[in-house]
Amino acid sequence: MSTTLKYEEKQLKIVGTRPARPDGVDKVTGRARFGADYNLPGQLIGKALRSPHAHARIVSIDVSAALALPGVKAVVTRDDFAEMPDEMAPVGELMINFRDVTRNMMAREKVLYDGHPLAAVAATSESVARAALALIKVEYEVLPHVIDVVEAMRPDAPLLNENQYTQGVKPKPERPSNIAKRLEFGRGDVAAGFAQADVIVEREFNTKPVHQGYIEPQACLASYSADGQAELWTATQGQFVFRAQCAKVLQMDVSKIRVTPTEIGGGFGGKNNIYNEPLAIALSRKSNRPVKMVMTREEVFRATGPTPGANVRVKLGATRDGRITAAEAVLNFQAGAFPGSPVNQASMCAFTRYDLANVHVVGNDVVVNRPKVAAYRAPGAPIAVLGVESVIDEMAKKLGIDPIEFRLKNAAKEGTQTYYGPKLGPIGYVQTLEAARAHAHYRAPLGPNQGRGVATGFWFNIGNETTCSLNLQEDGSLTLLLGVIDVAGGSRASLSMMVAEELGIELDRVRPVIGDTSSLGFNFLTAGSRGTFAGGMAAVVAARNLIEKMRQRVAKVREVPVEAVAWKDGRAQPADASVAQFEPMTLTELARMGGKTGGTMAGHAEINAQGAGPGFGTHIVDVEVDRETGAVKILRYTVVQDVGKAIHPAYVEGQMQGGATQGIGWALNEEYVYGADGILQNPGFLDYRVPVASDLPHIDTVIVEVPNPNHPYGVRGCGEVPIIAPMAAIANAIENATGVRLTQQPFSPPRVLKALEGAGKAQG
Amino acid sequence: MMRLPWFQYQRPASVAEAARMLAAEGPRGMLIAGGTDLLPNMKRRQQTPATLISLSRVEGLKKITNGSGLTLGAGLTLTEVVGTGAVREKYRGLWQAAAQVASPHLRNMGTLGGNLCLDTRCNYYNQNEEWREAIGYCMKKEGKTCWVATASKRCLAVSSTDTAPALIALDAKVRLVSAAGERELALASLYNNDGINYITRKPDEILTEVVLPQLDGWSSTYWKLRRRGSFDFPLLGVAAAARMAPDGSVLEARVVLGAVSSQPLPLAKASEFLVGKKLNDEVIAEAGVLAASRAKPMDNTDLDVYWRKEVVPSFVGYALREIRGDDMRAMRMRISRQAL
Amino acid sequence: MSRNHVSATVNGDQVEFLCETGQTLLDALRDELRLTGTKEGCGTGDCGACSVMVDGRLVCSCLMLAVEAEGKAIETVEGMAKGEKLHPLQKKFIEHAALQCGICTPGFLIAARALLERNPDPTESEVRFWLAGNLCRCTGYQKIVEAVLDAGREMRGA
Repeated sequence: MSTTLKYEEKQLKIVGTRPARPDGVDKVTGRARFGADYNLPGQLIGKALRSPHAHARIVSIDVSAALALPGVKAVVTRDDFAEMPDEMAPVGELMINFRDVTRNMMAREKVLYDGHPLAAVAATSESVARAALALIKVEYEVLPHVIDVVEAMRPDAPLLNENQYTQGVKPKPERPSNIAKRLEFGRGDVAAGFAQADVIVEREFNTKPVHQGYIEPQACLASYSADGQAELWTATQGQFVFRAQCAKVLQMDVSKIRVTPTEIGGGFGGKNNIYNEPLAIALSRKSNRPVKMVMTREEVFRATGPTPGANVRVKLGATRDGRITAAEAVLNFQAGAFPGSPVNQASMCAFTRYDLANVHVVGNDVVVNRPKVAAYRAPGAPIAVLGVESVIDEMAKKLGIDPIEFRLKNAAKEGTQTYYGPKLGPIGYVQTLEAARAHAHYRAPLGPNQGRGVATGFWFNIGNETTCSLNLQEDGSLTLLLGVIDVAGGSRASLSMMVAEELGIELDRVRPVIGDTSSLGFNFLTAGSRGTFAGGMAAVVAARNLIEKMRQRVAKVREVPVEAVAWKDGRAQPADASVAQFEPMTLTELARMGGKTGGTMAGHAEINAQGAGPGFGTHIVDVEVDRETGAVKILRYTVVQDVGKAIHPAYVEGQMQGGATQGIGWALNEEYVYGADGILQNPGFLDYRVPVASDLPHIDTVIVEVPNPNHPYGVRGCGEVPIIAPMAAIANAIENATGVRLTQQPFSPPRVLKALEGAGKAQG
Repeated sequence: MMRLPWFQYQRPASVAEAARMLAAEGPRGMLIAGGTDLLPNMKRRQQTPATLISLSRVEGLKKITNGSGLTLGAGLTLTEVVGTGAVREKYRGLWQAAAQVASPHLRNMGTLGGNLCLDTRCNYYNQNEEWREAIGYCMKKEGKTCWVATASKRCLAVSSTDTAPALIALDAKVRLVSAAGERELALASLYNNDGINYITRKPDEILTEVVLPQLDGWSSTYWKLRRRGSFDFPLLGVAAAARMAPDGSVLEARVVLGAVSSQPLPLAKASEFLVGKKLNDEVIAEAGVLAASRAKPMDNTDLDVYWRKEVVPSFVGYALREIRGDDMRAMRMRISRQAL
Repeated sequence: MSRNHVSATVNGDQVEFLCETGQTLLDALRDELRLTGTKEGCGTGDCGACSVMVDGRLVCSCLMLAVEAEGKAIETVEGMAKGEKLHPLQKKFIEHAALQCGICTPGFLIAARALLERNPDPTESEVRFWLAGNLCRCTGYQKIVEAVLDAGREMRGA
């Protein structure tokens, strides 16, 4: 059974305001406890041994010398974990295969990337653990490696998995391949569409992997007791999903693991997956001591989720009057060492802003000798959209049509048939384009070497399993026990606000708490912009459930029919003058007498939220290009986005600004740099360059609200969309400033300068 | 979690005591001042001294003496250098260089002496021990091969100090003190074009002072190329200082490049070329070409090496135009994103 | 391996602790004094999450030896509020939604405080440059900059 709650327009008192976040004081005073802030008496320090090779067969692992080192209490290797058969499970927007999960956390037959863990030790101190790692003798048979997606697709490329045959190709291929899966989406007749076109634009794009770049390295603390119970504290986007994965790979009952989510120092999709957690539990099991594992920044870069790098080809045909007649794309995505890149999502997001009769998208999921990719904010979409929105921009220019006007002419709206399945419901794409066009930014004058770019993004947003409890305490205050992690966006605030709005009480009376896995039923991860949508729906269901129970209680106490009791303005009141009259009861009065009149009251929600509303955004950016160095400076940035309803507008703005900034970093500076040996050369914040405050302009935001009909407050979700458009918008702005189109990300100064010089030569 | 290896720690109170300790420790001992270069390197086990001799309590290393020129204690933090009025007014190039080192935090910690002694940097060296072990180490530490150019007989790690080019352009000297005595030498002579033996300071010497000559009638400047407005080491530094005749012709000039070799690179030819000429656009362009011909950036730091060479004339141009008296504020904002 | 005795003041309190030479001030704060408000994001001075003040100077505590804290006055995020009263910066960070996940927040607060103590009326550009030694991955810095400017106004009584 799935749950949707219809949108109702009503007078709002709390939703839409900007109260202080419940986690605010803890976070500004240093009291908030993040992963690495947890300690237990007697704890050991765990550290992982990581592969120095991009690709090698593990001939043998000898841990005897490490075990003999004083202070070393346990060592685990592949021998301590069971083989896992193929079994798929969803993680955020992506799917995982337990066969691969167990191999990614601890290499089995082969190491598949620089940084791949293949042993872990627990010792009395970090220095002993480190010394122990150096004593582990591993014999490798080094194999040829491949890290580039196009090279990996070649028939003669080194194979990561000799038993992998491309799925989605009929008949089954005769030879194994690094292409794990081929996907196809489409509708209409693309060939006919291109035949109708007056103008065709075709381009190829290449992007490098980038990292989520959360400031808190992964950290966990595990304590396994002799009775087979384990406790785990970890910084995660989904305590229940982590529990499920640990239980599976450790072959434990789910109920025997209790995961307490710590405050989480950024995730962006990168903390959807287990890494050290099962190793820490296994080490704790072996040593009978708590084990703490905190990654170094270098480990974070080498072994946790970057995005895919990709090779993308886009072809677009349009008539002179600006109608797109055909659209085609091929997306070749790096999955990393194991299958499961977001090429599926990218394929669906590529063109879903346009009403297209003829579309064809092919996606290839390709394994390469790099860390297994993880979700990163609208996984895959920014990469596909760099290609599509660049080509859209070029087409608009060729046709002599204003880029926003061109998009409006072809814009998806309510009723548009997507090429991947559903028809779109009420959406706000056109409204974001119109708001962008009306914005002063779009008309502001530009100086020499300055240019303006526009690009747009679409993300599905998701729902899924969500639980919460709303406990009415004896004084009338409420505890909102949540199963969704507040990764950063402020869902504790927005969910409490919806509860207070439902109950008609002061926000201050609702205290949100994130529950551990023993306190609630299964919750999906905070991913796909579902926190405020699905979490909000659950909170509203729980509030309404509590109201229902309170109405029944009032009916019982006041001896009136339950239909005669209405909940209004924080009180139970006669439904109207025609029904039985009784003295209204406040929440506080109800709470006080609750225990004696039938027990304390609580609202619950165990739902599978459905009906997530797609989100659309339009970005405008101004850049200045230094013709002598090729450096690109962002001068001005405006994010326009339909969020359905901004429950807490300041936090929505924060999502829009933060997402856009990550997109700016992606466009200009961020990239994984590998040597010819397949080893990552920039595993640190000095050489992996995320944006700093001095390099960014004011980022303006415009919130558009076209309510999602399937959410009681109209929420769509807002976290993913803002990272989609920036890369393309910046590429378009550079083109507008210089006449040169960039197709290789990042648009670093040497690339830009080379392109400028190339253009100069072509003209000269 | 990144942790330091174990070491002995000593905290002398005077230069003489520090010099004695350093002499006693021999090559196993290292000096620590601000620690912003040494400690990350130690965490990555690039350096593993048995003993650290701290200069934090050594008296007199923060002295600023205004005499005929200006003497700066090597223990002044870069923030303190930036905050010194005489530096800002008379030695603009140094001021601009110091103000662009790393980040506010690191300028508050890092010292002038430390920036002058900054270890040379390389993608194959500034990595943790496991990483370096994975590639079989490199010539600079424990290995035999220079991975930047495998045929190279010497280490090609790059000099990444901002203040050294600026100070060499300003004709600074440094004072080195050891248990055996002390000496003063031109800062330019402190460096070798060798990524390993990049510095001529003997292991038992302490750099105590930077001595700037009186520079009446000189103007100086420093331009730094980096990707971000903070943190990043220079991809190119251009320091220039010149004394001009009333008619605008150059009487004396010194142009020095940073980050294009294993040492700060004084450009004698380009500097001589400028003498006797007025800094018109043609002269500036030609000086830029001369400078670029000397720059040998290596593929061991950020971004493309050809590009890093290609932008040298532009940056030399910015520097010389600023010396000429052009209003470079807009360009400065574009390149450095801040007024300097 | 003998340990070194260090006495210093932390947030105005006299403290004494024992540390190994290889412990940084950050290690000592977090592991010896159990002041975990100061965070480790990189350990190499490239993120600013470990920002503290030492004798009024903003520094990265991950790059200062704990033994060098001897006799120094250390200030961390835990010392910013006076009793129940939040520091204006803390208040403005909450008001302006200048924090999301919160891992960088202690470092930003300390850095911003160091800025306003020496420059009570900074321009937006000065704020951005001063804070360029602290990485934030959530906010895009916009609301942090606004909060610091507003806190400056409040502290000046403007």
